[in-house]
Amino acid sequence: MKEQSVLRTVLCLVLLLALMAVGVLGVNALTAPVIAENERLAAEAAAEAEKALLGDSELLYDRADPAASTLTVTADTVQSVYRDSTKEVYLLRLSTSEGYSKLPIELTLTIDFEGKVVSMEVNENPDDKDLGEEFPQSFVGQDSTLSDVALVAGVTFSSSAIRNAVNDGFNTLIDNGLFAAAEKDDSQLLNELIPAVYPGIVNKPGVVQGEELSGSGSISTGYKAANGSGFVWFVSGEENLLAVSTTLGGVKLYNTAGEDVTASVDAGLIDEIRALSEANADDLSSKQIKALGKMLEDGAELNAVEVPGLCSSVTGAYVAETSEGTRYAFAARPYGYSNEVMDFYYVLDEEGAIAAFRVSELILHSEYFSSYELDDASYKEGFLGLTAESYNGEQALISGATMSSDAADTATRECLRPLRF
Amino acid sequence: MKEKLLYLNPVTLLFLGAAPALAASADVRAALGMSAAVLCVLLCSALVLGLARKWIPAEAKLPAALLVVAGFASMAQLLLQAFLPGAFAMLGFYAAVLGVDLMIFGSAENAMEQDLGKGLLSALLSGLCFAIFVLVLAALRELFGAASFAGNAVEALKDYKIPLLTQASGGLIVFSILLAVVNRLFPAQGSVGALARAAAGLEPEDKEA
Repeated sequence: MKEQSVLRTVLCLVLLLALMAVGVLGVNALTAPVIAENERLAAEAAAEAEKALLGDSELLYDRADPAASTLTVTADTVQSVYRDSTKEVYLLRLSTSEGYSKLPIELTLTIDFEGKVVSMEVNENPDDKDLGEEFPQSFVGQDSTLSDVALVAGVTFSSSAIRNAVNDGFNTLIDNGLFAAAEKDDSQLLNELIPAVYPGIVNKPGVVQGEELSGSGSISTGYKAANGSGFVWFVSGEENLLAVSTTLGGVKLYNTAGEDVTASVDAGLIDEIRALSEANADDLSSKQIKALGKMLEDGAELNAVEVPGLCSSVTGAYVAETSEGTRYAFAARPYGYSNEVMDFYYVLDEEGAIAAFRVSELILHSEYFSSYELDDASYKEGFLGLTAESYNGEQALISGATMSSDAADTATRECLRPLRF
Repeated sequence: MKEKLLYLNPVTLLFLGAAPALAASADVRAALGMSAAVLCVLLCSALVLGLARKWIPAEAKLPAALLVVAGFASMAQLLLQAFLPGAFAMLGFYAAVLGVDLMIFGSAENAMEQDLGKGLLSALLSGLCFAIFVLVLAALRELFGAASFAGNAVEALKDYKIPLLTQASGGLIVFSILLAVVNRLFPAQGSVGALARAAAGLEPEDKEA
């Protein structure tokens, strides 16, 4: 009886499966030609639209066939370049994967022969945050400086990726002599120096994370780093300069060409910058000493040291004498998920190896993450013993939490760098 | 029928069909396509399982419902792709979600518990419940999120649109508000179990038996 029941069940299911299979095959036979025709019509419509856009344009560069190209292109974002002599524009197809999702964002950029943007269209944006209508419009009429293009608040990764891609497009045409670069004013040149000279104040895409401040005297304005690592100030005068002042005691000045001119400026200006920075600085030392003290033996006294020239996310540097020898302790505050500040603490031994490692909260807003993998204890233990030579970035990786991984990597590299006291 | 549509709507009462409802409600055209697909799959599944129920052994009911629903969901996907390509493109991979939607699956299982006429009526009402809810949701999201209706721009709302409403998080917000409004205007009475049976189209449980 049991065998009969099983047989009946199997027979019933097989019959239903056969019925459904016949149904699906029948519907497939009916719809396949219709779907194929729809796809053919869609492809024809796309080709017509492309033809209408390109007209009789001359292909100058195609990434798929660089040998047949007449332009030299080094930027990975530039996919193809056309010249339309009738409309007197260059048409560029750009693709960037530097947005939030790291999936390709496809753009179509049109620049006239004088080097001004005619249109900028985002054809495909896999990132789910809305860029709005104003951002693409803000490129229209801009020259190669893109001075009036502001990033979209809350969508900085993707808007920065698009801006950089458009910049690549301009550089491609300029480098091939198709038109001259527009001149950037001093303010723009100095702003563009910031990520290179003071990485501790910017996030991964290079956007300054901080509060704008008013200066005094020849110091017009400045930014206070959100992580408390220091300040940048804009100095006006015969020569406009960028001043970087960090909480670890250094002041450096750069001209619009990016040259370090600290040695040639008036000492009074440096004092003024230092005073202005101290007046606006937050005192992180007590919090840092408390956290680092827990990582050392009881009673070890931490003495703050200055590290002029270190313009990173490191906000505190200390030396302590312990029974095991001299220990160097650092606090770093890089930007993690959603540009929020994360607190990392390191104690290095006399050989520069990590003897203790601590982080306040490794995964910010963990309730929004379901796919990250992290064994907290073994992750932190993995940092012990690493030196500047042996650390290769792998230990900082957290699967499914890229921004936290990047922050951990930044903090570790910056605290392991060889330092001179 | 009014009771079923308003008070015992499986979407608002039991959150069945929420996934395709949210997925298809960014645009009214996608919502129409999804509603049509859901109704067809519900009715066809109820018909086949209602006709075959006497021959399906008890232990085969669950896999039988799975097979039939998956088969009709695949057919619905192909038909959408062929005859409503615009809606199909908007739905993306959510068109395949029909095969695992609990509202459809539950209705298919129930069709094997009742006679053919009742099973078909229950499936029709569930499909209409879903369609009404998702069309209202889509209209709200598209009007206030994209200042358009079925792809046609509504100039009066152009300066007041809230783009968040067309995204997943915005969809959840509008969905929740709509649920709250519906359940406030048409509050269902009774125990959760009784309401669930009624919403699923089953007869009330005979407690004296």
